[in-house]
Amino acid sequence: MSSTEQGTSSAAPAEPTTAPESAAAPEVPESFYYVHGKDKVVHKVSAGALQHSALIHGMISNLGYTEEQAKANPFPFENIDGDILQMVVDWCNQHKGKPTPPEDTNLPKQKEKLFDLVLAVNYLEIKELLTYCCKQVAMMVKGKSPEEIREIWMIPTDAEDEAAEKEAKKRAGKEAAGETAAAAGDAK
Amino acid sequence: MKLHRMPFLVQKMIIAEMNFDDRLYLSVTSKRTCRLLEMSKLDLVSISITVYLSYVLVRVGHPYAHLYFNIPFKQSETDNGHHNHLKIGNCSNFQFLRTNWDSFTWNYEGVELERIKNAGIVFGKLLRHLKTFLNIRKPVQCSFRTVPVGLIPQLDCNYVYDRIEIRHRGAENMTPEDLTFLLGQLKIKQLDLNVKVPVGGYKYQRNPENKCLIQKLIIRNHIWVDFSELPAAKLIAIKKRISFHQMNTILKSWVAGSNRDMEIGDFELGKKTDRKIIFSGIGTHATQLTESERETFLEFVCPYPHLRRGVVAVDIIRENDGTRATVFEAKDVDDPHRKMFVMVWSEENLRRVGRDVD
Repeated sequence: MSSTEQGTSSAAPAEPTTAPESAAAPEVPESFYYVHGKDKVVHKVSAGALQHSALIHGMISNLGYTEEQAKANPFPFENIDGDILQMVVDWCNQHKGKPTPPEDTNLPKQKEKLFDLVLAVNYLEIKELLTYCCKQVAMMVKGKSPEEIREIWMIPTDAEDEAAEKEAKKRAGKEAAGETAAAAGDAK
Repeated sequence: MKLHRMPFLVQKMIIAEMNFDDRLYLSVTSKRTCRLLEMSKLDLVSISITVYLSYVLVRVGHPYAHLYFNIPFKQSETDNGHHNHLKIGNCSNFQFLRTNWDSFTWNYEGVELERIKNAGIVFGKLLRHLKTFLNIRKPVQCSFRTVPVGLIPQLDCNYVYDRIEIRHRGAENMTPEDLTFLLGQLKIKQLDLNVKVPVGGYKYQRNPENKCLIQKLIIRNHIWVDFSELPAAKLIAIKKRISFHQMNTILKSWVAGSNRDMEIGDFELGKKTDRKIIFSGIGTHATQLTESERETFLEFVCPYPHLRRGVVAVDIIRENDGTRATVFEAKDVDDPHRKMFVMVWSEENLRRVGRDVD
């Protein structure tokens, strides 16, 4: 169960719409929490669905929020794009209280989206979804030649790696020199 | 999608989902990727190396797939005409077998392939590369139809070789350097050699500082063998007839303290034996092995019962430490050829014949 709406991260969000209760809904009303990503769109997610995320589950189990408090304090995930968070929320809702299937065909096929999803899922510690995503990423290079693999996963050549390393060293050296000069200036 | 921008845990999970051949292909994309693969190595079932007349075939086995690496080479005479040198053929790539032969350009770390005079370098590089992302725990098997110069020193000293065979129909030429490396540097369970060294009067000299790394050494052509100091191996079998004097040298040297690594000897004698020559200058004693112990030992070294008839056994004793060895002379009933076995009373051998050594 989820819904989205435009809101702000700190202010209390407007009343989000909820999906209709299923016929087999439990007698005890389920508690809901609110999350938003970079785009500030707030998603209402049930505690059951959020159990997939070890990070969020750990947070909510310590908070003991009431419905109002939860609504007033959505969890901000500023490092996750709105559409990616939507995907994660959808997946958590779809697999709420269900055994996870061995394959998940609904994962994005575009590599950039998948990359962002992997990072988000890893951050939110959703183990099963992360496993699916990693399988999907591995499948991208199945049967491909080394050059194709390099292209798909944007693997730099040894020469490029060496150049980047030199550049990083140079930059670090400059920064260190700058800090030393600043410290000397302060001392004066 | 940048693989190297992924968190390490995720990288590991992605690699865990990858097949053996995909990992191999990934491993050649860059050194950095190779280091990443090194952290979650794949276990191998087997690896075998076969050197044919014009190519080296490395077969790597995994529970679900096998990969074949084919390194073609040409042998050509050098200016002085003594040695064959290897040159990689027209194909500048390794070849891998997925469903069909496939190839890709290897990252040679700046080595210009055209200038490589020795395919052994490529071969060595391949073995080292495989080790970066594979756990080669299982024994390695090698078979040589020819012994191209420079190939043997490329064999990795960290592997345990289950079996190395250099035994074509005729004895293969081998350089003293290659022979020294093979006998002194590699851990081998069974080394089967039919080689000769085309250097006049050459005798292999073992480095006394080298540990004994060979379990079983089978020598099919002993022209290069110094009988007073045999190559270091626990079991030495010389499958070509040796003279009584050579047999005497082996035993006499053992009594004097040489050939210390030998625990079991298996030697072919001629149709007749002359014990006077064989035991000349050596004190012999009635054997202290029981009949059943003798039988057990002979069953171990000689699986053919018809060869175990008419056995004569005597004991000899090493001068400096009193170690005992039993020398068996065995004869085939149907065949006049005789064999001589030496059983040094090492703990392992005594246990083998059922004697309590504790």
